[in-house]
Amino acid sequence: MNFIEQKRNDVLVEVINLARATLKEADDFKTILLKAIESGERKIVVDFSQCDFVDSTFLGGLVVSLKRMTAVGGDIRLIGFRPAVRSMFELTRMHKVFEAFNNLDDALTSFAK
Amino acid sequence: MKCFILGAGKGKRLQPLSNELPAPMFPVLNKPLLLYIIEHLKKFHITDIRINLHHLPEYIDSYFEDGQNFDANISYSLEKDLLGTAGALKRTETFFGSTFIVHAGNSLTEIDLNELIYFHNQNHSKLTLAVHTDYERYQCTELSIDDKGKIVKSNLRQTKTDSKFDLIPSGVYVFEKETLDVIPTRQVCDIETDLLNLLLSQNTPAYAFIVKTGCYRVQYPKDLLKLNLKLLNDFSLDQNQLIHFSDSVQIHKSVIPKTFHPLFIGENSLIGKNVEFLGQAVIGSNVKIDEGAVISNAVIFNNTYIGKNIEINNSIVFQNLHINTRSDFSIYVNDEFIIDRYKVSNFANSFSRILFRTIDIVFSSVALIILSPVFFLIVIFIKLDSKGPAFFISRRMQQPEIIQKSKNWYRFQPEKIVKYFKFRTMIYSRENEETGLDEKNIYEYGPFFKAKDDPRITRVGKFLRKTSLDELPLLINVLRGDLKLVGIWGLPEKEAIGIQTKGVSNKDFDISETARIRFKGELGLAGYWQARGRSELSTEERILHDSIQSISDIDDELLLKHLGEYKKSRSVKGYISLILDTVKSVIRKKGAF
Repeated sequence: MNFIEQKRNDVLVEVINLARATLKEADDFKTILLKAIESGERKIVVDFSQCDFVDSTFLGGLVVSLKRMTAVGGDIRLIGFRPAVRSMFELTRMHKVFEAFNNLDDALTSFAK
Repeated sequence: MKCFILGAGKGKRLQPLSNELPAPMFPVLNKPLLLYIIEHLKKFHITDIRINLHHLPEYIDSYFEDGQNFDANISYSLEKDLLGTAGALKRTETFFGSTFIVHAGNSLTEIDLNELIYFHNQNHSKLTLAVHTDYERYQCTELSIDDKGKIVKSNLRQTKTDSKFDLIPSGVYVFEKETLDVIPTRQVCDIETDLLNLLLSQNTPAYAFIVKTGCYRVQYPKDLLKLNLKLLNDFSLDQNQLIHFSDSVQIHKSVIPKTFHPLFIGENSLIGKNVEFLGQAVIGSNVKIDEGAVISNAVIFNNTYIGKNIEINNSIVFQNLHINTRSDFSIYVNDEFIIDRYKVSNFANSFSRILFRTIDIVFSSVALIILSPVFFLIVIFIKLDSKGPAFFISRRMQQPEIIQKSKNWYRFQPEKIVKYFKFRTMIYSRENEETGLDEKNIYEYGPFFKAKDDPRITRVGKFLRKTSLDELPLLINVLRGDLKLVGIWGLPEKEAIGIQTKGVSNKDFDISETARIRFKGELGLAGYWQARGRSELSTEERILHDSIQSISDIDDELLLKHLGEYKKSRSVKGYISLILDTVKSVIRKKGAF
């Protein structure tokens, strides 16, 4: 399984179970997120802790989903950045667009507020 | 005689320099401008000085204190709110004797004050303005006088550039104490405008004293650069010596034999191996200029580091900076953004540039030769299909004019335009007309524009676009060196300016900063966006591809560490595979219409 889903109360947690999240899986991932938003999910946490690399296509899909999500008043928050992934977010200034947390609990608490 | 120095101003026109340093403290050959004023006054035995302060006052009073160290008696008038240059005098009325001098804190002159005061007294003037002729002022009070020097009219003039200004105030004034009575209490009032007009309307005699000697008023950052270089030049001629520095300065032995321009270096500064001075430079204290840097016509403030092989031309570099980027006609003020994110050209990078350029030349010339029959056919078809030339020049932008400003930094980069050669796909002379097609734009928001079924497109044009054959002449651009084979897709001017000014955002969602990264990349034919489906992609995806493409273009070791697999695109293999990916995508006709 490339993506593992779990539900924590009203929060959907999406774990990216890939060392390299790239264009091969980007479309699937985008589809999953967009469908989740369509079916009414408003709080999504994406867990990157298994990931060592994200490419531009994958990031692009994530941003498209975020845009769709903010339009309906929800949010996508991120956790589990490894150094290389964190750098990629910082270099692209995407860290200013997404809210990121150290662990799942922090992200869930942030949604509970 | 007493003198009042105007040191309170915020120096709006001198921003960003004045954001962190008041104008009177700007360095001129590494000494504060205000010190020159005080030294000049002392030559005429004027030592009783009051300075008004408001903007960053601590820089001034902590340097001059009570004036003892400068053989002067200095006091201060600290203003909580500004009341203009004349309003400031009114406030501290009791300080003055019958006749006194008022001196702008941003003005450096060689005026003979004795002559000025004699002229003032002879004419029984109530206010005398020293005036001179200057060029390149954007806004200025200009005076009309009669043959005795009496001011008959003052006029606030605005002009763009190059026109000569006659008789503009030099920032040195002689006052009679009774003149202060005209100034309204607790009201904003400026000497050169409000007060002068009041006096003229009351027929009070005000005179202009024409100064023939040097007058330098620092009103714009450029003035500071010019003033420093001018004084450096004079000083070098005077001393008959090119390079001026003290024992605490270390200069590598390779530098001096190659230096043919005046140079002024402050205490404890270090000039590295093979640093070249291709023009004059004034360098502050505790500055380090690293190996191979090239400096010309620059003023570098204290405590600054200039990186290896960095070029600084026609620039002011503010204090406490770490510069690792080339500078041209710029001012750098604590620009965090440029500190470690920019191009440093070392040998390895020069080598790889030559290598990639060779690939570009070989690939594009081979392709042009092989495709020449195709070119020939396309030209014939376009000519048969519709009137007009076969080729079309599209103005594309690598980078729009960028002015970034914030409280602490400022950066200006001129626009960069490349003319893209394309086959004409639209009806001749309709390419640039307003389309009214905004509704048909495939991008739902943001700066990009692309319409399906654009009525301007010809029959042959439609085919050329579908097959992307209209882009083939871009190989000529590659051969010419305008583009690389791999790089960012050049945007039409409107789109590029849109990203820079409006950004890319809607409610709750803003990726403008990410989108602007593209302006750091170099233009090219193939790339991530081009290879991954082009117009099939959304605005956000396109922006991500372009920004990551640009980041992988930036030569910076620090950055490279974090690029992960994107380092690959910097290798020859990665470069070629991106070209092939793009070619494949084009052949599959992905996202082209």
